[in-house]
Amino acid sequence: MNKSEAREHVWEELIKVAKPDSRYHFNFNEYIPDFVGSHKATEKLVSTQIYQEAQTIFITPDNCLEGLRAQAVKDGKTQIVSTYGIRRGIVELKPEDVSPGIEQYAVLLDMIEQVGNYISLEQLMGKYKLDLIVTGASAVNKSGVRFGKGHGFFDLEWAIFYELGVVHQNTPIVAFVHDSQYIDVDLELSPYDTLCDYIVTPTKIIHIPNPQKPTAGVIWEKLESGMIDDIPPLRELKELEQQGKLPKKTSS
Amino acid sequence: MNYSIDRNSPVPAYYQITLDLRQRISAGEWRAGNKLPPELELMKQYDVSRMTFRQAIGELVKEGILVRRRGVGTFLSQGYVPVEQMPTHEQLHTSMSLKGDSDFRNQVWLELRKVAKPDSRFHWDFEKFVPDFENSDQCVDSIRKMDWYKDSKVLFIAPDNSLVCIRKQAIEDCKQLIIATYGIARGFLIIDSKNIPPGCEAFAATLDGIEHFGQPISLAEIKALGGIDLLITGISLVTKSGVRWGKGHGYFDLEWGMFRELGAVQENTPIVAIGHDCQVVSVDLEPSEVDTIADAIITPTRVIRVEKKYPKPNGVLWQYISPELRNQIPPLQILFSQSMEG
Repeated sequence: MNKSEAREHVWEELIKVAKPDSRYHFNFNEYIPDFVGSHKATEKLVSTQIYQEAQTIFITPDNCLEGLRAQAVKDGKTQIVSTYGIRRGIVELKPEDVSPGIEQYAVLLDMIEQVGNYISLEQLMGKYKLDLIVTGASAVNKSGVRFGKGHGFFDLEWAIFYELGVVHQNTPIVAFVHDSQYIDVDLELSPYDTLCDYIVTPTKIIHIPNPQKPTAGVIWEKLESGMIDDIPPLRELKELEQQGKLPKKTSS
Repeated sequence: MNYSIDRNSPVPAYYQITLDLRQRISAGEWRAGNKLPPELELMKQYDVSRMTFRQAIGELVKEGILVRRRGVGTFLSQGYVPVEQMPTHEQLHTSMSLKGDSDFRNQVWLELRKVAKPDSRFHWDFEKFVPDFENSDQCVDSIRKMDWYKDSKVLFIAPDNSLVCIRKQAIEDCKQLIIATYGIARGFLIIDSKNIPPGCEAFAATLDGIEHFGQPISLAEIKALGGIDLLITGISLVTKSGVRWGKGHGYFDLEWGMFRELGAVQENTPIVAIGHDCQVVSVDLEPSEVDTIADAIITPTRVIRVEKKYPKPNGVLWQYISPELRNQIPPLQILFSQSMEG
């Protein structure tokens, strides 16, 4: 089964538990939905050591992670969130940015860019190490191969962070999904796939030993056309590279 | 000379080139009947692909400004009469020919881009959303001074980003808000100000917030509220006669049509269009029979009362509604079934 077949297959089940997006309705090509029971998956993740020890968490702008984002604020974590499609770069949300009682609204995509602050890659690099990475997914298989909406934004985010040196091979990656998105299907693996260490669903946590995490950074030739124009951090990364400001790549 | 195009603009590259060539032509760079520089040279100036460039030229050929001669080149038409001077931005709207409706809208969008705020999902894609803009909060003060607003209990407010601060104010003023979901895909929601915790008005006013705070409401329930007292909509552009363009899907016209069919609004139920000054154009557009005319236009700097020239549609014009469209819009489907049953 290829990824797009698997995606279609999962969506048939997912629509039964998915919540609509304010713009995209139930068009899963455009967004990753929140689902019934996502608060239970949040509770499960919050009870883990990797979460509890994390000071700074990267969270993707997927709707299923709204509850986690709110909880992270309450728990005093700083979160780094990309804007939708990375079109306006990356946002830093510190717990002190949010008044108590409004956590669950402040983290909505319509609010987070106003409540938090945009952060450049250079600032990110100088200020943070990412202790934990959490992403939604269209689906994820038992080997931790995940896929999103199909644009490869998450792989790109990993690649950018890797080049900045704010993540490393041992930085834990969590795929946060509904049980119907966790599939027993073999998927072809490309060298650019960023696999996850853990899959967290409302009912279980699955650990995947030694998942592949690319160390090549951004493969400029592989980018979809228009991505450099559309995604400001890619342009900044190129500048940082040209100015020799990036850490040396270590192969592993 | 720098002919570079703005790749961050919502205006397509080809159209920016069309505009620029139009300017160069009217500035007198080439004379009527003369040949333009070779395609390759112009392509290089703008740094675009052949396809994009040909699309740009195609627009001017369609208008009869340029003439293409196979194997020879592109010429400025013999009959081309230069405009004495290029219009200023303020004059632009009046001097533009209205041959191509979408072209005209793009002109407005080019201006709007300078003051607009991006959408959390759609970024700058104005085909997908009506943006909020700088100083939109000044429209709130104006609308609060209107008797239409003061006397209203139930408001319909379109799901446009430019109306976020009006929704917030309406919640603070204890109004009942009916809001269409984006694309009317999940019908209508009602926000009862009494249910919004203090301090959460700003959240409840966003599209994401509406999903949390709004309750679904059917057309029958809207009717049972006793009707809608005032409708507020955002715009892509509006003429001084109140003829408006939205994103181009005509959702507001459908909303009005449904409410009218239902008896929840009457011909004299006021409609206020909110927009930035650059969205108010001074040309006159002849409305079609589905166009729902605004009674007043509010911008950050002024309030324009529309002198009534055109009636509003008195229901849904079913002859223009395809089954596909009905399928996408649940309340429209329900209303259709009811009207079939008589």
